[in-house]
Amino acid sequence: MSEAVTPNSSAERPRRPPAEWTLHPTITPWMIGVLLVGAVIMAISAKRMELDRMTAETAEYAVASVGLKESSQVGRSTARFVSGLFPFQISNETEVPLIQDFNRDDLPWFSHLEQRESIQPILNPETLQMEKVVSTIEVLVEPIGYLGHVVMLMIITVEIAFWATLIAVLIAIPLAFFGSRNLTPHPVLYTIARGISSFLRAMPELVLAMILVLAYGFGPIAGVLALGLHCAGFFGKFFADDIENADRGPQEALTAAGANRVKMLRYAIIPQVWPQYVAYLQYIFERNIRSATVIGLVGAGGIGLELKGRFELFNYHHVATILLAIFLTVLLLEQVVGRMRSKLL
Amino acid sequence: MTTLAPADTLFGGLLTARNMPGVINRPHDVMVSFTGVAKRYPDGTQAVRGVDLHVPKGQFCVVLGPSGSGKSTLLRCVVGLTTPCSGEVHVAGRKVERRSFSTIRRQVGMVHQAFNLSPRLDVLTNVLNGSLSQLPTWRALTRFHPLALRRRACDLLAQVGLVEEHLYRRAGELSGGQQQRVGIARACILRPAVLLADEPVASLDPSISRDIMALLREASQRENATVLCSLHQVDLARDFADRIVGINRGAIVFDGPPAALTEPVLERIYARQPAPATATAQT
Repeated sequence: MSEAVTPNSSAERPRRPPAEWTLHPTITPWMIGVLLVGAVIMAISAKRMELDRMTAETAEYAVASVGLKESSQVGRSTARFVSGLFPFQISNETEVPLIQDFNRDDLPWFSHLEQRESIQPILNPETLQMEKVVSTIEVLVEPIGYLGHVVMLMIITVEIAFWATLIAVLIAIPLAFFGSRNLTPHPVLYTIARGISSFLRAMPELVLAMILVLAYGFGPIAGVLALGLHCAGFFGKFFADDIENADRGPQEALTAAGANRVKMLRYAIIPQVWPQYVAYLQYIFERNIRSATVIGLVGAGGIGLELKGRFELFNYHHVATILLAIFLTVLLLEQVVGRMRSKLL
Repeated sequence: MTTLAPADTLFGGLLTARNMPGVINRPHDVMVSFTGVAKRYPDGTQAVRGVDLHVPKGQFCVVLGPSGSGKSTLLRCVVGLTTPCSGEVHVAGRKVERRSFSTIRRQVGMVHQAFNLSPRLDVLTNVLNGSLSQLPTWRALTRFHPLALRRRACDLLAQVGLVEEHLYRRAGELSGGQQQRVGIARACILRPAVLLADEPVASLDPSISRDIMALLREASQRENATVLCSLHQVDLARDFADRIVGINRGAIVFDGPPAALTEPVLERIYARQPAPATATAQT
């Protein structure tokens, strides 16, 4: 074909020596214009985002941290929070009168009772004077009570992430099938499937969670559904794009062998895209664990509510334990999932 | 025209099938027939121009021609991978059209130039993929292939020279020649009446090409299948074909037995085309 085309096109104008061939300029006025406009827009935006203050305060912090300055605003606030984090809160103490159905003979594991004296100012009704009264309160001490509580919440969080990922995949399978040009039975279905995927992706999971908490009440249901729906949008798009880009050779062979679309998906496409799908799955699962801690803030189950509560009570020791738990969980699951992945491929 | 030429006389050079329209009415004689088939691709390439070709049952027919002469397009029309712009294709007396695709694809096995196996699936599954038209969807989805079918796949693999160790290896790990052997086994699993081979050895080196062609010929004889094979290697065509159809720029320029493939004929088949871009990207 090339032999046929070349003489035709070159016949129209006389050949010129290579020294006279037209070369495209590397920099054009158009490029300079675009760069200038871009720079102006960024400058306006930077001013609105207070990037100047950010730079100034970060620089102040850097200067202070190498000892050239007494202290900095950023440094002081951060140090106050960080110093408040340690030591981690491991144990838990509860005043016995506050425990419902307390059974002295059947204490929780590893726990014991302690007597605590507390001095409280009480108004004497006769003298109308404040008097200091020493009272003894019995407390239930659980040495690893808080840690256990956090671990339980973290397990719930991981469960939310797991079910959310599973639901996302189940919703995404039809979305991907109808949303890929080479498999969709009809262009209208293609548009609908792609539209649903985009819509689900566009809905922030926090907003979805707030709406679903109204519908299903507080608890993990809202969390599972919010994350599941949001991620179904991602999976729907990723899966469909990969199906569209899969090598056509095997698909053609199976078409010639009389396979329908579903069989073709099963034997010509999925085997090809499988490694990529597993990678998405791993990424979305990890992301869901992080997101599950956040959507807990609006009451959708998991560790988020505990984190928010402790943060607002300035219980930074507790916050530290929670943050450590989240970090360790993500780290651990990354290892586990990574190993499972190598088995799945 | 009521009297019909026996299959043998179909080899009589250019003056064969084109002069015998009545042959189409006898499906038991002719397995694959093209009548006035033309195909122009959307980019303006005229791949096939008015081809009339009738392949009798049991024949090993090689379509010979340079790259881009329209051989693949012709073969693809048989299973509906390409729809001709005009003309008709019949397989065993049945017209190839959307309605008949499933019936025809069941009767036709296809061997591809680039093997077109699923590289990450094992060899056995790739062979079984040839039977997908017959398999209920639930079986296909769960990979629950009937034992008899799996046994048949093993037999076929042995016949194309593969051994037990290959059974569960990924198809992508095999050499090109081995992959094409799997391709042949896949095409044969449903005992097809027609075997299409689209440049089956174009991606292989010459000695392996010869083995693969021999296997194809052997398989077709064992399954009693009609073969329509496109090739661009003259020596292979000479050695393996019952009948050679020379095609250049989408039109038949020679039709006859291998013995009739003389130098002038070859020049006609491989004649360099002048300016108009008739060559296709389809090979």
